[in-house]
Amino acid sequence: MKKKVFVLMILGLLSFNLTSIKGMVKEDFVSCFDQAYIVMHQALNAGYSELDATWFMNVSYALCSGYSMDDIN
Amino acid sequence: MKLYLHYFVFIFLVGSIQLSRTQPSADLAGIITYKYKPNMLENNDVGLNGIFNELDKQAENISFSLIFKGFESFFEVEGSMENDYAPIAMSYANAIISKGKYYTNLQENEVVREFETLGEKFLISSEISISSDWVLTKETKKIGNFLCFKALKQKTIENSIKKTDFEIIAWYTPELPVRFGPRDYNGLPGLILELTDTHFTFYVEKVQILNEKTVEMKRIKGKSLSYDEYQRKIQSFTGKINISKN
Repeated sequence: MKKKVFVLMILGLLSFNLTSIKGMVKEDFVSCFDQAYIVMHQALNAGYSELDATWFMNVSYALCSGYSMDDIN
Repeated sequence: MKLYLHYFVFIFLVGSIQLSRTQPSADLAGIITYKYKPNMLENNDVGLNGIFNELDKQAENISFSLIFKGFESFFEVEGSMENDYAPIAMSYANAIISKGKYYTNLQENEVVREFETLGEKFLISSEISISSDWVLTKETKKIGNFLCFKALKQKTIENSIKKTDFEIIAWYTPELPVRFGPRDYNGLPGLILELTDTHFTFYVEKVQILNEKTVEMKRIKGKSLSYDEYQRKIQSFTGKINISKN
């Protein structure tokens, strides 16, 4: 009985640790370039034209990098 | 004979009244102020919504004006606000929401659009008939004191990854019998007071019906390209990008 409880505790601890590791992986660093690319793809998926999607990509990159629209113009 | 003449005059008068009710008036003039709100994205993408939240926060008070007089109208982002907003907000309003300025001339059956892209200014002219294939419905709602009717049309935007169909919804009022509305949406038997476009909804904030003499019409000057000429020019810049008509 004690052995079973011990195994269950170990399994519980392992699954908790794995969840934590998964959480840490999720928070992995995404570069501004990657983020801008994702936004462009999302804009195309939402039915925006290529020119509009490029505009969103530029804005996303600018906002992520701390630039203003004036700077990227 | 005299009786026939009375009948003729009566029928002529009734006909004239009916015609004046159904035909858009060429004498009305005014300035309409619209605000906008973004339409909800279907797939609720976090990245794009984050951008929208940021942009809409900066651009929330931006207005658009429609000036109309006789057979002409002019639609643009309200110019007096240019200095009051961050350049990013004005760029968002000009490039994404209104997509430029529009001059409509019903007599010449033409809409001229002026916009900037890839660092260059473009003027594109198109026929009004392209943008007036509306389906009129009997559905009504009140916007302010105006009774509005719903009209629908389909619009398709094709980009490099997919083709998206949008339903454009216009609420127009026959009480203001002019065939104008936001952007290049026109041709309805009344002024459009609310328009759900592909990604944004324009809604009316202020209606000013003015004396024709007090309204100064703006026009777009310069040599305009047809849509096909514009597409060829853009393709020479980009090489391979297929530009959507929107």
